[in-house]
Amino acid sequence: MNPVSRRTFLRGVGVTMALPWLESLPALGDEPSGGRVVGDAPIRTAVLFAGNGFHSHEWWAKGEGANMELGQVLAPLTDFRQRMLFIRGLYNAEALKGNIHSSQTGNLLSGAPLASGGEIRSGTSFDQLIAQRYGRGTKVPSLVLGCEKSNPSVHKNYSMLYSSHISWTSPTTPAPLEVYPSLAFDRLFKDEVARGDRSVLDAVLAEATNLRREISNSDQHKLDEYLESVRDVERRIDSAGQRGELQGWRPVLDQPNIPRPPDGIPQDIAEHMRLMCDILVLALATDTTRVCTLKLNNDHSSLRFPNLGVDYMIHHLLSHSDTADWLKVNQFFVEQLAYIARKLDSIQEGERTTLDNSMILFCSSMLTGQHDATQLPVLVVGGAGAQIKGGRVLDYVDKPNRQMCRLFLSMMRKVGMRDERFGDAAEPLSEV
Amino acid sequence: MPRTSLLAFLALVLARASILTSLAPASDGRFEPLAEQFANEIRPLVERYCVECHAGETPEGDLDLSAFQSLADVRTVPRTWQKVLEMLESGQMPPKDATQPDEPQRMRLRQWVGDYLKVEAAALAGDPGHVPLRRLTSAEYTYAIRDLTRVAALSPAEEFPVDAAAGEGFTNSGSAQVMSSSLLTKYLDAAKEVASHAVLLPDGVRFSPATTRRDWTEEVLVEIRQLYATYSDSQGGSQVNLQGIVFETNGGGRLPVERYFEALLTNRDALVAGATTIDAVARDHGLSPKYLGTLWRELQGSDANDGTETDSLLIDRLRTGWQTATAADAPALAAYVAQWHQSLWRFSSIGHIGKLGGPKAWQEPVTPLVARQELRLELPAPTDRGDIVLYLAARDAGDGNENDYLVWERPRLVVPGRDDLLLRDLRRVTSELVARRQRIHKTAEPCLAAAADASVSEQVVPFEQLAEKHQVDHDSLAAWLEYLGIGSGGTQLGTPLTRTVTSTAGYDFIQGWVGDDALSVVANSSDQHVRIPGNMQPHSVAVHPSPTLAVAVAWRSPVFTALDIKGLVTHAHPECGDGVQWTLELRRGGTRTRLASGTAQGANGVAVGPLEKVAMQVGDVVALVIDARHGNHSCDLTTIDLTLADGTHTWNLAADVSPDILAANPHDDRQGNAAVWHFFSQPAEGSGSSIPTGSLLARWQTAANVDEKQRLAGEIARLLEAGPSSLPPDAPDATLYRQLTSLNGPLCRAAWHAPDGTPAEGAIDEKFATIGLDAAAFGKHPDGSPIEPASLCVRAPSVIEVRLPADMVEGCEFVVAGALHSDTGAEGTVQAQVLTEKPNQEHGLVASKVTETAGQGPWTSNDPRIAYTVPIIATEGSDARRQIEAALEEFRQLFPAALCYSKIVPVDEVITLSLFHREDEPLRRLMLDEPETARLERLWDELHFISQDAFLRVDAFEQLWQYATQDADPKVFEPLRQPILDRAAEFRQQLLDAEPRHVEAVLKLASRAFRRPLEPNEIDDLRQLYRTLRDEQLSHEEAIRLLIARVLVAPAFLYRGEKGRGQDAHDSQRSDQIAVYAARPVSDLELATRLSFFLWSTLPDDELRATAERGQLRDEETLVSQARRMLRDPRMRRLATEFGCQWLHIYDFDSHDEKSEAAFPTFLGLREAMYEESIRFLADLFGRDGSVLEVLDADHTFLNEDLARHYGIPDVTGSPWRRVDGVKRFGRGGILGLASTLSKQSGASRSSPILRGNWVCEVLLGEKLPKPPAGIPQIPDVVPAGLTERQLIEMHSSVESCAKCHARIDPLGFALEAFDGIGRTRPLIPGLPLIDTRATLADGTRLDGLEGLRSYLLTTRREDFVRQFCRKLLGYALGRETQLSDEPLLDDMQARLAANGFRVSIAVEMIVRSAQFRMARTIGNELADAPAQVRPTE
Repeated sequence: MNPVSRRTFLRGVGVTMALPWLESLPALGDEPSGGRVVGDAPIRTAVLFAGNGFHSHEWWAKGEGANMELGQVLAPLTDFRQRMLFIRGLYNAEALKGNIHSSQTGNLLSGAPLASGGEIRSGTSFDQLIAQRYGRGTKVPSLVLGCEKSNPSVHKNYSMLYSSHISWTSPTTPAPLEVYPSLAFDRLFKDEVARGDRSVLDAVLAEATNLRREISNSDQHKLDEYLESVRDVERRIDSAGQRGELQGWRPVLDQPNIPRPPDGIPQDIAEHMRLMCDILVLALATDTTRVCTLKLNNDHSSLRFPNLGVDYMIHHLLSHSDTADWLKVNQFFVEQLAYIARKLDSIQEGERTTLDNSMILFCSSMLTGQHDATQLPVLVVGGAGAQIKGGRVLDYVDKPNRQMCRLFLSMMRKVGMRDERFGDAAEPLSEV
Repeated sequence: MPRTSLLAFLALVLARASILTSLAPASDGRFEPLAEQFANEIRPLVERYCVECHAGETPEGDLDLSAFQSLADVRTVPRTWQKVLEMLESGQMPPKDATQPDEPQRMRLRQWVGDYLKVEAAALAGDPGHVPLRRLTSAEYTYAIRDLTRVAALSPAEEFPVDAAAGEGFTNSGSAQVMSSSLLTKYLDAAKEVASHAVLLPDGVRFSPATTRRDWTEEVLVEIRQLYATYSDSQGGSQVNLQGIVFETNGGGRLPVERYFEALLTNRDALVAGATTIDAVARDHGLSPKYLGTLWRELQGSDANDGTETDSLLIDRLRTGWQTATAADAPALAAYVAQWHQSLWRFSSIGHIGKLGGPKAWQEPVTPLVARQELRLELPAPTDRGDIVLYLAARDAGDGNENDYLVWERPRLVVPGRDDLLLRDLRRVTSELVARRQRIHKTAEPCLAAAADASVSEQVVPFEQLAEKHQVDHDSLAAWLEYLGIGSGGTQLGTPLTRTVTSTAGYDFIQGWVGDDALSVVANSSDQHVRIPGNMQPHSVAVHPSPTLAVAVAWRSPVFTALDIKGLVTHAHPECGDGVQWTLELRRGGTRTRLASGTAQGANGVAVGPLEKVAMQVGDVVALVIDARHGNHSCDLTTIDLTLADGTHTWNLAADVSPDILAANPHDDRQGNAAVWHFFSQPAEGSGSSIPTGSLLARWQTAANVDEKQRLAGEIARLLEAGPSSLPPDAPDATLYRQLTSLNGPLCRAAWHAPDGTPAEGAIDEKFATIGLDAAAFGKHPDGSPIEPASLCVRAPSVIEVRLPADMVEGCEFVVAGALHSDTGAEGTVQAQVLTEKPNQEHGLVASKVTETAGQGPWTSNDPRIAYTVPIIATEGSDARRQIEAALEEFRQLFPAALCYSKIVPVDEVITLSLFHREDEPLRRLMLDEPETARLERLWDELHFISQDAFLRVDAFEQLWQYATQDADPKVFEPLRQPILDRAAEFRQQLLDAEPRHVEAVLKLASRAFRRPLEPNEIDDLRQLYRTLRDEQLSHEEAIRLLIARVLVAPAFLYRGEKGRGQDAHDSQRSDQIAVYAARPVSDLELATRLSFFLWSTLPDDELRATAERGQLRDEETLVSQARRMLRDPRMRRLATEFGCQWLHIYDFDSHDEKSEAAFPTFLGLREAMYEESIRFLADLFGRDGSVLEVLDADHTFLNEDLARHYGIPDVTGSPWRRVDGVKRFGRGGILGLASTLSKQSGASRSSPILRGNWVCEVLLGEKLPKPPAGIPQIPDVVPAGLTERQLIEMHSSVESCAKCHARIDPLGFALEAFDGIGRTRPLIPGLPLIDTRATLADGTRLDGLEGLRSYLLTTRREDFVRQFCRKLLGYALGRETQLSDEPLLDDMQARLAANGFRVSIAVEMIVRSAQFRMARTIGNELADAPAQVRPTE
């Protein structure tokens, strides 16, 4: 068979393959509309995660608008009170089953049941669902960053993989974390097309497709991850140089305005987080991606904070105390959110700022260090293109249907998704 | 799966079902009684105590127990019932607030569930289980890449995301392994990075730690040099100076003959007695068996004395020495050989081999055989003014003295510029000269007065008149006047330069006068500074000497005056060369007075003078002479300037000459005086006598008035009378004295003449009878026949002693030629020598030294003059000569001076034409066996191929050509041009020819990477990809690299897919509620892959692969023997790391970053050592096939000094790792005492009994602890004053909700409280509470410290520990969580271990033999939880 037609054929075959996370794939060219008006900037979604919960007495907010009062953990956000929703009482029912830590984290953004023992199974997280639906419009569909390497072990019959991954591209596939600032930067801005790459990828795709026929169904499923990854890289190569542009809108920044970070992982955690925050801001501001997840640490984190003078205990053990140092560490995490908000707010996109056009979810897998996941600490900062009114406290503690997934459904609506259900939720939070 | 086998498979499944039934034990091993019991007893209990919570729409824990109506229902999810049993056994269920069954009921429930699970486990035993497709872990990928490329330094996965763990807690479980586009991009980048390490070879591809051609080339060079160094010596070598660059040309690669002699002599008796062999001796001494054998046969063996060899002149003498030699004589024998090395070989520079007249090789044979040899001896300065004695020695050249008639031809004394003085005439001439000298000396005063008279007169005074006036004889006065240069008709200059050059280096304003060999005087008439290539400053004059001629610019005085003189000499080409020697002279008549001299080198000019008020007569000459130093004239362009002024007039060289140097030679000055500036050459190192500066005579010359001259003349006369005895030898007057009294000096030389024909008869004073030889001895053969009259004829051996008068010989050379007498000596062989010491032996052959001097010519011409100190004189074409030649050649063959050019890269020319010089024929011939020779050939092929030197030489040649056109003759390189171009063309073709082989090499690589032969379509696809890439205009090399990258990013490499697992039968195969599953054995190659990834975390090696390909791996014993082999291999360390360290939760401990630097400042520096200790401990255990119990019980560990200090273990010094025994007495031993485990299970700044206890519980004992309750109380971050960490924990754990679990956990940790947060033994600190390591366990056991905990684990809990080890190892081997169906295997493993000393290999072997390991499920992968009836299908 002549090679050209063979490749063409294979590409055709690829489309017909059932890929679990592609089932919801709409026709190409589908654009989020939602509340967005043509010519307006797109809505950007970001998730910031901090593991192990917060200080048991200092995570609170009261009042409204300019009069909102904040607990000490949230002090760094004082300037952003009117751009912020403080949400109490949401939770994931599935997170109460199984184990602590890992079982509370692996399904944080999906609300899905987690498999234990030898298996890995959660659910596609809402951020990745948005990316899969609308990510093709940008160079990078979504960026998944972390400031702490994941933990390669199994803890009480649950893989610690759950403890380090909140973003899942499919129920069995956590999105790999990029912890190297330089590599994250490259992912956004490096020209990925090298001569011959495309031919090499075509060749491995053909091989994988052949191989697929010879292995069992479940193995096929595993191999499909590979196939789809190859296709994804190919798509990126094909679309290199073209930008997914929205009608009537261009990002203010079209080149990185910071240098490529040095290779390696910074020794200093503050520097590491700062670089990752910069990259997140840069990714959104340049419209290189519209979905970005930044996991500041693992649940069951072993970070130390010599920069804060808190070096004697790792984060996880510190979370079992309610000390001034714990508070200091909590504030350090919230400062990262404030930093991002401040930077995004400094970028003017028409009448609004990038912060106005974004929604940043800040959450943890438990309320306090005592593994209490019956309610989660949740903040949403940013206006989602004037769709979210800040300066409010939403309290669902004593209300029914306080599924975390309702919030996700709400956020999905903001970018234009009209899904009826997500996870264990069947309706969005009307107040959001 | 083909249709027929599918049918066969179905049949098998049905048959299995019945076999299973019949295998089940009749009583408690069967399902039937269990079914009845469930219906009658168990279900009611469950309904009574459990379903209240575990039923309905939202059952507790998502478990609906009401759904289990019968045993058949139970059997659909045995896993649920494992959980039920767990809950019952741990007492967690029913919960405290629920209705409780009574104890018999509880017992019954537990027992039934237990019984059921046992029967079910037996029924399912051997189920391969659900093993999801596995991607290589980052570690496996790294190991595989390293093994594929054989480059251990590659770390392609360094920046990959951390692998997650699943299954039994290992990263090699497929379910936790992710792929994504960003990870795929990383794999692609990593593959390309690895491919950039590929080195293309003539016949394939290898990989290198480096990525540049330069480094790859260096790697091959290192290998070749290592091979050379194996057999050759690095010594030898002497310095050579080529164009000012000093280097050693002939060092290295030497024949280490002494070591061979020594080895043979040491073992001679044993060899003769047959007690050892040549091969054994060679091995013991690290020598070449081949050469050792050759030497043995030559020196000792039969062929040495078979009488056929008569020409072995040199070797025979060695054999003679050999007969009686002992090992101590080896140096003497080697010295003999070395002596002849110097005589029989010469070494040349490499860079221009092959040019016209150039060397043919680095090491070239020379033959010190001549028909006639001129011998020259510069006569040494006499000591103590005594006579000099020379010896004319003639030897018989070791082959007897038949025909050895030697003619010493015309022995004579030679002084440049004078007639030679024949030795025959020496006695008589000496006698005459002495008489003459006396006359001259006596008249010194009046002669000088006459000379003074003549010199102040502006008119020429007639000679006779002058002699008359001063009452001196004509002869003496003439000698003095000639010496002083007075009235002798003008001062002599050297040879004028007559050729002109009107343009230099393309500049028409650089013109001048030139001779041969770059000899020149040039001037720059412009304002420009240019390079030619030396610097030409604007309006300057520069000169260039040749190797043998000095160049000079002289000013001839047109006036009678006193002058101030100054000048400047500047090396104009300072980047190279060794600079010049300059001299400023005042010449008058035949005399020269050296006014100043020095050297100029480098960029800074050297000032000449200033000299003040130098008296000048008309016709006097001031000359600035420039000599090459050391005969090396390269880069010797020298800018000179000279200014002479008397207050009225000023002469300046540059100003006078530079505008129009070509106007004339001699050149006018600017004031209209004709022929003032002269450009000429003269022999280098100015000959002719100059009056010593500062001497009485020099002062006499410059004395201003007559009185002064008279006084000085008087002093000179006294000096001649009394001698210089009180003066130091280098005082000017001492030199003057020698000059004036030397029979060879300026005053006496007029009488030095060669008489014609036969010597004059006449009486010679008796006192000269010992000088020279009797003239009568000359001109006749010993047999009386006449020969040339001034020659001597002798029969060797002979020594003639010749005495020369001391004051005759200074500055003389003794010259004689030796040749055989044409009639009587035609078949003779003689060695002739002129010596200054009497030879002590006249017989035998002596080794000559070869001296080599560069001949005249530009740098491009190699024109070495070779001379021998002691040549063998033999007639051209004579038999005697042929015999000697044969003897020399035989010796050369056996004893080359050098075996190989071990430097390989020549750096002995400014531009070298050879990047790599190969010369190793002697090494190959004498030393290497066939495989070594083949290896050497291959390495050289690779060197040329990798370096592409054939192409580089084309450029080098062009460069050299251009360089040579500047100042030499490039034509000598012409013979090299075509071969270089041909070789480049040939290489281009070789590259093309190699292209398909590189593709083939990638196919081979792919087969290794994929762990199986490639399918035909895969081969086609890879070839097609290569063509596609070439079509995309990628170069061959780029295309090959991408092809390699494609192989390394292939799913067949990255995934451990097992083929033939398709055609899942799904639910359609279910015959009833109990699903039917089946398994098939994996293929031999798949099994090989499973085995190698299990034990080595990498691809199968060649042996395992070959075994599999022969279809032998399915044989269980072969499989096990392979596993045993692999356990003994160093790669088993990976099992220790990947399995051992993951199991113990210390994986990647070397990057553990959880310690407070304030609390534990030493930790960061130690964590790598801690990790290494752990890996070594486990690797040693596996490699040694130690007991599983040693994991806890070992009394040894592995330490270096740093870690030993950390542990407080004394007497371990230095950084190397070593096993240290007896560590129990320091409170260590086994994993409980490792710094890694103790640190890992601690906090950032303090120990944690909870973490440690939990680790012992879960990791070592496999207990399943419930999750902590909600709302656990806080633990303060710092230990409150007065409390120990233990007391703090005890407070915490006493809270009721926590106590139940903590009672199980904490005591185990308390036992380890003697160790701090980084595993150090805590010191007892006065004032602080004692460390309490006593503990009471939940079951009431009391124990104390590590010792107590260890013995508890080894006794009470031994079964649990061993089972946990087996479970973890099995889970690791299978890449999945262990399941119910594995329990029988685990039971077996445990039993077999107990019966076999717990040897680790037992556990490994049982896993390898198990159905789980050797089978794959063919159905049912999608339902891991479902009950399965799984039996091997064989």
